[in-house]
Amino acid sequence: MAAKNFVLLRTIRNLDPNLPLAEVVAAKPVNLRQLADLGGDVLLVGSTKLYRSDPTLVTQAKNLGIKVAAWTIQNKETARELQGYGISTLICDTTYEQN
Amino acid sequence: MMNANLGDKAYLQSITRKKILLLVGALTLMGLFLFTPRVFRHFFSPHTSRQVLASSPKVTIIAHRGFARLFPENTLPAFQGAYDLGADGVELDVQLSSDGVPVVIHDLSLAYKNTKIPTLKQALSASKSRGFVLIDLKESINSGTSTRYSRTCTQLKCKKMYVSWLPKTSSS
Repeated sequence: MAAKNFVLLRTIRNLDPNLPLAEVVAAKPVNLRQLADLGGDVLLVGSTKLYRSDPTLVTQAKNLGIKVAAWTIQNKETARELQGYGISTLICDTTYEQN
Repeated sequence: MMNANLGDKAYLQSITRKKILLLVGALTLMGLFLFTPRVFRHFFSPHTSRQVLASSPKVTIIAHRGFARLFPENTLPAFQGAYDLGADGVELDVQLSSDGVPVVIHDLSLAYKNTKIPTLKQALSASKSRGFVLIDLKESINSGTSTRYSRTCTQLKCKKMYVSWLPKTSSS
């Protein structure tokens, strides 16, 4: 389950300690430690700016046991760029390449 | 002799007419079949999601609202279409309806009259054995209502769906 609202994620975690949780983030700050402490599983990142400004984001997340996924990918170039950062889960709007 | 020839000609004409009618009928049926949205996409879509956006099989593709640019977003046909096109999973948005049922829609205020809004239960059932589901709980959901989502998911054993996709993203 994914949510932007961290309070909601915490509530769900209290309800179910095993349900995989994903935090949706679109801008800084990204609090990986907070998500790790909650037992979160995935960081869903909505802006390539976050990767570009901090190329170590994926490594930091991985070290904390958090996987990173990206949304919303519309073209092959962005997909390639994200894979370069080590992101292998892409949330896409289409199968077609968009200009 | 003349009458016999005329009879043969009329007979041949009636046979030809039948053939033409049959041919037109067959072509019409074929046209209807080919232009059924799903069939059309299957034959005429230039690429699958994997071919276009990620050539590596290690990449996991999640269809945002069921590939929102290809299908009516957050609908059962969209989820089915997304899996047909090779998506590993679908992302969907969940809100509570006025009578407290978890439904799949991004914005309740923008509910389109002609679009059938699926319940979360229907969406999860449609995805069973096809792929995982990433449920995006919208911000309108408060702590009180999250219990309902949790119960719904537990009942449908959707935990397994999540768990099944997590190992695939081991590199990130």
